[in-house]
Amino acid sequence: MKTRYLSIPIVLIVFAIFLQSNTGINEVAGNDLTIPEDVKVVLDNKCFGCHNVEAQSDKAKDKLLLDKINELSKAKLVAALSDINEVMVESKMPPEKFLEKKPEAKLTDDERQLLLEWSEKAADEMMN
Amino acid sequence: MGKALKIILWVFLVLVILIQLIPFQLPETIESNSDDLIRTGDVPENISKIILTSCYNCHSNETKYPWYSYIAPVKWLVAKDTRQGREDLNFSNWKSLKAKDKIKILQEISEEVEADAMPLPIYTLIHSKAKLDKEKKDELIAWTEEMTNLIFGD
Repeated sequence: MKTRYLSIPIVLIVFAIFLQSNTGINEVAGNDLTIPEDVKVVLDNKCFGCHNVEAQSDKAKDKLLLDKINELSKAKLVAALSDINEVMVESKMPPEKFLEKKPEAKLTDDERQLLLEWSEKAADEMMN
Repeated sequence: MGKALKIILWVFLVLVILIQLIPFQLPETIESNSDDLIRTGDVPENISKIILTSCYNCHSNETKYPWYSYIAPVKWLVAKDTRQGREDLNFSNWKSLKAKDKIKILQEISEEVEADAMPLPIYTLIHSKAKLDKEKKDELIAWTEEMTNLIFGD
């Protein structure tokens, strides 16, 4: 009788381990980039709108997909981070034309600086 | 009618001669570059041959200018493309680049070659030897992956 009750948590634990190992495999297939929370907020609010798989602009999607960033190979991630850094240094994103329609999407100086420093640091970390 | 055509031709000829007088320098050619990619010894011979033939005229300091590139207005176009090419990627400075910049460049080479975006179609139109066939493209793309792994230390 007791063993029967015991078997339920054991099955649950085994299932939980199975689930965890599955997500683990997915992470290993791409890269181990972790995005700090403050950076993530800016990316979500100011960049994700155009840089996700469901977005309208093919040009933006072609350049960067933030929802797939963890699936990039290490080399492609380093290249993407360098691109992010470059457009931050040159203040090229979000594009001027887009900001004419949606001025609230403009990055503040602090936000731009945050993305600039993060992209550089994250790329450096990938090289170590 | 014949006279009008003659005048047009003369005006054209005078204009062509006059634009030669506009001072305009082609980017300088430097033959010996200590940071050059090929000099690192990391590039197999088949790849260095492809890169030298298809990329080096615009993406290195070793530009070999054909005779017509000294004549305006061709000169202006050649100067612009060479300057832009060296700015985007200059194999003569390879060794001085940071590892992450090398990774980015290798990614870009792979993507642009795959998409037939490089060498520029206007360039291969005149320099047919620079054109990359499927085999050369595959070799070059495979090399970018090997180099990437080498830099990551795999």
